[in-house]
Amino acid sequence: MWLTACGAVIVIVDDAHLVRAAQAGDADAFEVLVRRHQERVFRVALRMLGDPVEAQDASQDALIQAWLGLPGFGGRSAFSTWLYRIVVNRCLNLLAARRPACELLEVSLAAVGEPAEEAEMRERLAALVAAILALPGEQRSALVLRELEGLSYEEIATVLGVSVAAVKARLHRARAELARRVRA
Amino acid sequence: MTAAGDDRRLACGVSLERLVDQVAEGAAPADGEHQAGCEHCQAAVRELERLWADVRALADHRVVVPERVLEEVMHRIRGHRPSARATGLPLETVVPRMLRHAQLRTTRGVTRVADLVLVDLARVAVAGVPGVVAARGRAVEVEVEGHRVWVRVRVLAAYGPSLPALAERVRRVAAAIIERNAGLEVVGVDVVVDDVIAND
Repeated sequence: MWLTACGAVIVIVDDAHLVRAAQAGDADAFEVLVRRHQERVFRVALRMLGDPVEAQDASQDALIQAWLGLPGFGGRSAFSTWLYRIVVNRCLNLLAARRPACELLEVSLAAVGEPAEEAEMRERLAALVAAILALPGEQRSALVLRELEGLSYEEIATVLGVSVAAVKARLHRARAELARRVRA
Repeated sequence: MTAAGDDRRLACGVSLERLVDQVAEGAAPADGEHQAGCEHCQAAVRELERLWADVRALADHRVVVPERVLEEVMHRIRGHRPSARATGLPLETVVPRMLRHAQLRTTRGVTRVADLVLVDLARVAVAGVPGVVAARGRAVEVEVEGHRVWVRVRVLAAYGPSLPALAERVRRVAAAIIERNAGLEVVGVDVVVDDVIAND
């Protein structure tokens, strides 16, 4: 708890407390959780789907699904891990339902910082994003969670519902495929 | 273009895939002695390190969440309590099932009628009203509070008859079916005429 300059009191409540309140139907507690975690949810959806509009829909649906499914969340994993699981599954379902022709997505990264070097950097990142989007969904999810979100193998195994060995295998294939595509 | 799973080897015979994992994990070379003296390996590692620097840059790239996400989520969840049975089902199935129930209290218990039931009752009834060509898509929406119901109907009308008169017929029929079949009080029926269609 802090007293700020103007006298307001800020109380930092941990996720577990908020989750319990939300499980009891407290939508305000859930709103705090959404504010805390929406960035990672959207980021994963964007990297998995490549399209900001689709990522927005997937994020919204995942967060609503999280709210509806709160009673099923036992707290064995972190709330963030559980949320990753919901959004990744949503994205994998969307990818599975996509027709192959839709795989060619326009890739855009907003320009930030120095325009001179940034332009080249942006081009390289765009190529990287395109290579990630070309990976099969299974590999893509493992790669996004490990290399972009920084999850441990154990956490990824929980998110994807597979063994740690399977995570390592997917990751190995994903990295090799990425190296191949970017080198080509 | 090589097929996925093809273990590409460098000129020195070392597998590129092994080097990829080494760079991605920041691990020590499995074959340090060879790598220290091998220009093929060193060149490949340098190239992979550039690639992985890009991966890290992408990871650090700030993503701005559209403001609509929070708004939309909170708008849609208020009024829908969490349910143990909701996970795993497609949202399209869950959200309508989470809709509210109208309640009729009697001396011997409470009757609850899901608003979806009221939607179905009203839609079927309205479709039979002369002058209504179709009750479109989500033609009927209801809002329930206790035993009181608000209804909103969207219709396509046949060209010709007076629209206010048609709306009144729709209003009467929708209210009657819900009051008679579900025993609820209809406090209002808004009618929207979406389009008028010429009948040949």
